[in-house]
Amino acid sequence: MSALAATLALLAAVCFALAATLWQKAALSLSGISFRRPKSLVLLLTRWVWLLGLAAQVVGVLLQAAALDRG
Amino acid sequence: MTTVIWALPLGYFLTKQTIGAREVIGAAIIVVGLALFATFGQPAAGVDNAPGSDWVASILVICAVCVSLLVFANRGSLSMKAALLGTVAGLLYGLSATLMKPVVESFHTESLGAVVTGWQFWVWAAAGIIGFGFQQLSLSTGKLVPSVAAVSVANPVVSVILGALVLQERLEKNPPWHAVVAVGALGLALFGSVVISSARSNDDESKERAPEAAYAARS
Repeated sequence: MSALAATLALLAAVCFALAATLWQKAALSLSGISFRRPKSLVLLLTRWVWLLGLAAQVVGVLLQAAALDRG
Repeated sequence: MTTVIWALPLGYFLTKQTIGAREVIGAAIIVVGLALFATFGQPAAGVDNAPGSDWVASILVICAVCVSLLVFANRGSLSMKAALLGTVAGLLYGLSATLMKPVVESFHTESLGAVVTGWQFWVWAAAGIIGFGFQQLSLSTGKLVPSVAAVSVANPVVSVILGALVLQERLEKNPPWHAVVAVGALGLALFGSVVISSARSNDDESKERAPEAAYAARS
């Protein structure tokens, strides 16, 4: 694994952790999130903190793909 | 691979997670396990697709495991609930990742039309989306580190098992001890996840929140 690939993988991991934390932050600001209340999940997806988490996840996926591409 | 380590400071600063010795030690064990697995667990190529019956059998087994994990999810502490829901998410992600291979293969050898008319594409998408939903539920317990740990461990474990059983990807390359180290490394990562999710230090807090969470799950 090259140093560049390792750095990219590390940054991807930071993005994934950031995404999970932001998703958690968004989920904690609502209560009663459940599959039995589909509305609660839709409401979650409209929170800007949650969308920020999604953005972090997307960046993470791109960084991971770049890392895998470089071995 | 190192995601769970980064979740510790991020959770501490952004969502006021309590970080105890168990979380730190468990996260370190997971990272060591996953790193060893990534080093020694590169499987041989295997096949691109498998008979439908093999897929159906493995999908049924995964569904059964998920259902039994969900049955226990409302019984333990919040950390355990986060871990069990995260494990369900990780299992579904792993199934989705394994199905990616025949889907991509179909895209390369056939057409986009063939991809979307094949059942594998739809199961791939459904497993990914439902897994994502369970990950959100897992995070909504408020327990960040058990959730992140469970997802990041369950995913490679099920990918390896499905890769070996369905796609005949074998870890037994030369030298054979690599396979032993790889499987042991996943076991180590699993152990780290258990250490985190059975953290007793957070239980007072989880007792307080438990009735509220149980109510939320029911409503």
